[in-house]
Amino acid sequence: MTNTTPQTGYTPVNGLQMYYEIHGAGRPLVMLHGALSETQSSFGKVLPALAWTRQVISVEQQAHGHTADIDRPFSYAQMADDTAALLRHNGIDNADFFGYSMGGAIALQLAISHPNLVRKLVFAGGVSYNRDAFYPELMAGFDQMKPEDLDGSEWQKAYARVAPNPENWHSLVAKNMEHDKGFVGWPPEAIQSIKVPTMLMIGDADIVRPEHVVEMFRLLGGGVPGDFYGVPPSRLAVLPGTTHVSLIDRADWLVSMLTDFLDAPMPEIKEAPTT
Amino acid sequence: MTVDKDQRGNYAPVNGLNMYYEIHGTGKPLLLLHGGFGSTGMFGEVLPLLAEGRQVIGVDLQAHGRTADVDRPLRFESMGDDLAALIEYLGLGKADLMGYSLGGGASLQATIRHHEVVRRLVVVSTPFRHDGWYPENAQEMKQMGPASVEFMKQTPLYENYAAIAPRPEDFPRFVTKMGDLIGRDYDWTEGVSAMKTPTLIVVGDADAVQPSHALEFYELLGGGKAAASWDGSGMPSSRLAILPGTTHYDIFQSPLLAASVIPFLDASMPDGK
Repeated sequence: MTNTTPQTGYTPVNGLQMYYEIHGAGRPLVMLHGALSETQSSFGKVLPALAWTRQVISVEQQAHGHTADIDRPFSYAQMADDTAALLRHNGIDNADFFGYSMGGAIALQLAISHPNLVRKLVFAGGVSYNRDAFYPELMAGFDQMKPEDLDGSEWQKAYARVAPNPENWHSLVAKNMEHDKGFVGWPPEAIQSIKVPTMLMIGDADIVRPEHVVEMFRLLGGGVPGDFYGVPPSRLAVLPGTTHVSLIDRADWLVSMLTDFLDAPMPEIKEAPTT
Repeated sequence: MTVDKDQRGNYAPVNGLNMYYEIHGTGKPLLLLHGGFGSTGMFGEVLPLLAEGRQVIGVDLQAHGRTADVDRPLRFESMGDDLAALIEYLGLGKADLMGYSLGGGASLQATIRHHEVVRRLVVVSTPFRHDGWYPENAQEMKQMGPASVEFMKQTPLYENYAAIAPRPEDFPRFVTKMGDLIGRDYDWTEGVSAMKTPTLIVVGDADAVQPSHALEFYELLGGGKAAASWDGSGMPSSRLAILPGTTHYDIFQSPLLAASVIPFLDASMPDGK
């Protein structure tokens, strides 16, 4: 059995010509790439395997990959609204979401502002809900960065291959740095309010402090012994010997953990506890 | 849990024990240590997966499985000494150690007390301090004692024990001695901080070990303090794996366990001295 040929296109959304690809068939899984990245550089290693067992939809954000920039700053709220609008325009009103780094933050925002759109959510790489997540030395390093520092990188090469205006690379990097500088995140109550099963995945040498991710896991109902209370609907994965960047290369681990999580039965709706 | 009636192994005279072990596969040696009340057979498919790339030596610890008890208390320190003595008896020089829960405690003590015979260490679902267990689990352990015998006899762990133990009638004494071991407070912070052996810590996200404790463990070994560079440099020699959707009672047969451990054992890195 072979995969169907991918369908690609652009949807006009909030002033963007927003690019998407659809691979495979079955329950929809929306994949949201990382900052400075696009479909192939974020998901090249895992997309084919996932597309055997479900319909994979990759969406490219403002100024990224095939989607040209427009004159407005980056914001997670906007990227979430753009993504929701594209999906609804293409007849998808409920899907699983897998976001890598920036894509994970967009998926989190979707669960908060478009909850009916999200069946299950996976946030992989750089998992964070506020600035406390990041190692301080790393933050200092980001502040020192200049757009030219990423010339010749894998992300720049991928951009050059697909962007409508490859000469805009420095502008993309600069806009992304602005976005990161302004990142505030979400209050703990907003994370607690997320009702959909959520899996958080980081490398053990990722850009975020593992303690922050464990805190977030607790806000999502995790951090209990499963032999007493049952396995909670939300999950936490820490991949050994894995950095922020190498996480998306761990294809075997990612595909098996994702498949297991996404295909697990949905939890029964329970009454909220009164104690 | 299937009852393992096949006997493929041997016995080694170690510190007064007639210590049962079985060898699977060829290559670098890995001693594999079961959990409390268990035996080598409990690892199911994980053992043959590990044995594809190395020589797995499954060992039944004092009083467990096919290794009869002797007249001394059950202690992690003495079980660690037994493992070091077995490595020497088998002429292995150095071996990798992988232990789950009680077996993890024995492996950790073997490494703290005899690091010269350990190349790499994998600690699965094992705290380095007793309060690393969730209070619910710690409470259960502290309640283990003679009154637990009848309850324990209803479990698959007992079914396996009764099928393979040299003296199944030892069971009540076994339960009492286990209560005396697993209920004791301990704190191995000093020993762990001094360890140089490359170590992989594995816990489930719904394990009996608290995730924050697993992070503390990882930090004692140099991890979780900084991001690695883009090229992977700056990673500590120790590793942390938290397996999603996994409890204390399904981790030891989980294919994810084998998948997390094998790359660590096979990676090229400076070895423990």
